[in-house]
Amino acid sequence: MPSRKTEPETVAEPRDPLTILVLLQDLDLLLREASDPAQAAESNRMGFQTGGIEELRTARQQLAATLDVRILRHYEVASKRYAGRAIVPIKNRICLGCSGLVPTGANLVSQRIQSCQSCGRILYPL
Amino acid sequence: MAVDVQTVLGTFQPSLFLPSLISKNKDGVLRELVGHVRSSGLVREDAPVLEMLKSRERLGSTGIGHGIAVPHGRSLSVQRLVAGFAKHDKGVEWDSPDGEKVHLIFLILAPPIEQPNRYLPFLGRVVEAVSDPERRSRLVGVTSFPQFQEFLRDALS
Repeated sequence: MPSRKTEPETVAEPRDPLTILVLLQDLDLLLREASDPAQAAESNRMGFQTGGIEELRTARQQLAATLDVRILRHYEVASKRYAGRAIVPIKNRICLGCSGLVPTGANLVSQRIQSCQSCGRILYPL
Repeated sequence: MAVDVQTVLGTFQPSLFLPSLISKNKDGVLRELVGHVRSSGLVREDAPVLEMLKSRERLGSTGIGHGIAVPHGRSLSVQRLVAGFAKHDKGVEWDSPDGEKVHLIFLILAPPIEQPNRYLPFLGRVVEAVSDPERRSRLVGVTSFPQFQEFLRDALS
């Protein structure tokens, strides 16, 4: 492959509640892994730094505060119930959390966010 | 679980072999990398991936010294383990432990859950591949994806 110049790519800033929920779940996963002594030790052994956990917790709180209270509560209840997997992909109308078929007009947590009628997880279309 | 050489080779994407990054700082490089991931069709949404990588840097630098950084993380927007390799001729500040600018960048992205779980072992293999000074100098001279694959084959076999 010939050497080529790469142009800077633009990335849209997150705006909608579903994208913010995905950010929140990703951040919660990162915090969980960083708080796990075995995983943190492995990460440090490979040469990565993990000292900023408090700063990350603060960022998590700030992000959560941007969500509607009802949406955040739904996320936190589902997250607790499903070990951090409150949001799962939906593919061909199948919830990949519980494998349930999601009917047209599934529960709406808000106008933009759907949840699975079988398990209550928030659905993220792939 | 162990990650074999073929798995490592198959995880690196030809479309994410980027020999000439041009962004001037760490955030810009992350943005540039994620833009290429998006245009390669490897993620559903790019914004969560970029934010996750920035959060990982906030937790602590992914610069591992000797001019190398390995930005990495898991996101729901990522559907399978993917990796890329990029070079930056001028070098970028990355808050690395040795203070050196970063010239060689490995990007590693994974979904929240994989079956089997290869993310951490894969990270380990990448770090292993650049642990030797002689190998690192060889990597600096790599200019094509086939050369990069050859480097990985030699480093990890």
